[in-house]
Amino acid sequence: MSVQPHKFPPIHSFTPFFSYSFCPSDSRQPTQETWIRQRTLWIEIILSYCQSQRLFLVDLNELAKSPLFDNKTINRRVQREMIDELFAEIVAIGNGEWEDKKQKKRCFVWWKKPEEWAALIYAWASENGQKICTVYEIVEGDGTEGLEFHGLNMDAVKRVLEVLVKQGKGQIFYGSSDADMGIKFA
Amino acid sequence: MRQRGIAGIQRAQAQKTHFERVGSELSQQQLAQLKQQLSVFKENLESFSIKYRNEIRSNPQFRAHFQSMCASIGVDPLASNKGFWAEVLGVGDFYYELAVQIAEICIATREKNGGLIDLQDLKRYLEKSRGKNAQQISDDDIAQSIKSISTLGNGFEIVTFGSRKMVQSVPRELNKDYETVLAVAQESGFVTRIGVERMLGWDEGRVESVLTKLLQDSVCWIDLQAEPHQYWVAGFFSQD
Repeated sequence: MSVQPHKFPPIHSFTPFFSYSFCPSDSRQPTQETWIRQRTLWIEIILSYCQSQRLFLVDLNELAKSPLFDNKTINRRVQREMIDELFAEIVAIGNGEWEDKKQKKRCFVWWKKPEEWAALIYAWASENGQKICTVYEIVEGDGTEGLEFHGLNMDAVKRVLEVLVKQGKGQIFYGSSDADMGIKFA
Repeated sequence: MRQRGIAGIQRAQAQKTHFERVGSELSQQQLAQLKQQLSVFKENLESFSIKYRNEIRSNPQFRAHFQSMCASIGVDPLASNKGFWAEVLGVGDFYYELAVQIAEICIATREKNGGLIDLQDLKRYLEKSRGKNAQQISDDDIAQSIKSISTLGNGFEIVTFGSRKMVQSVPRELNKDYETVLAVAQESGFVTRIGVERMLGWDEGRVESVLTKLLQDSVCWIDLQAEPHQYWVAGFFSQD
């Protein structure tokens, strides 16, 4: 799948709720009720940004510099502390998972949850009569070109395969390298 | 010659009674006249409303005039859903229905505007949710409906800030200061502390307390990256 530059909902404007750049959206609101609302809106924006950019694993330091959080049009940027708070919530609601649980700098972003990816991969395998494939075949192989999980991050796909194991739909086998790792579908 | 004694008192009393009698006769006459006038007026109003029933239902301006005509003689077509007026015109249902829709929209948008929605935005939402084939509605219809639900005591109210009319759905005592600051904000959508101080000539504490309250009530969002900080009124920035 090709990556198009993300077209922000005149974002930082929080559309469709506000008709143009709403500057306070980039400042962490001190009133709890307002903040909850702000957080919900931001999470929607983050997930749709990652989906359009096909980002599966993000580094928060890098993301802080991206157009997502650095809105040059209105010269406002979201502070790092607020980004941390947003991702804590993304993780809490199951749309994210820390890759580094201690530092909390790198986060898988599940704009589709692991269960959804697992279902897509399993459906593909069933339709094509795949019994055994390597991780490489799933995410980089010619056979999955054009499918949504093609290009899925290697580390992310491992998490997804674990879901299939848990569901009793496959068994993981390990090769000499990460790319050789694979799954035997049940 | 001064009148003394019992005769004098009696005469005075007789006079008083006489005056009272004449007075009450007069006012009774007036009352009867008025009653008659009113009943004629009511009759005319009824036949008028039957004659122009469709016009009243479909033309919001016409409806507003009719409404004010009714109000001036103490007839309230909204008062009852079952009464003559509602039966003839179906207006009771109309306003009732509209009121429910207004309440729904106010509640649904409360999170983002802190319970303060621009009347024009509300109207747009209403038109959208009512669909193309529904009766047209006017600002006045909205005002009437809100008046009819405000008696329930749930805090629905139209408040005016400068030239902007807004519907408030969260019971909140908008004191004069609060209103004044929002009126200042409606120009650009936001205010700064210093801006309010200068424009209104208030001291720091007074401005501070209003702005703090606006934030606490989720009516305003603060832009901490602007220098000086700006207080934006969420309800002024709406969906198109």
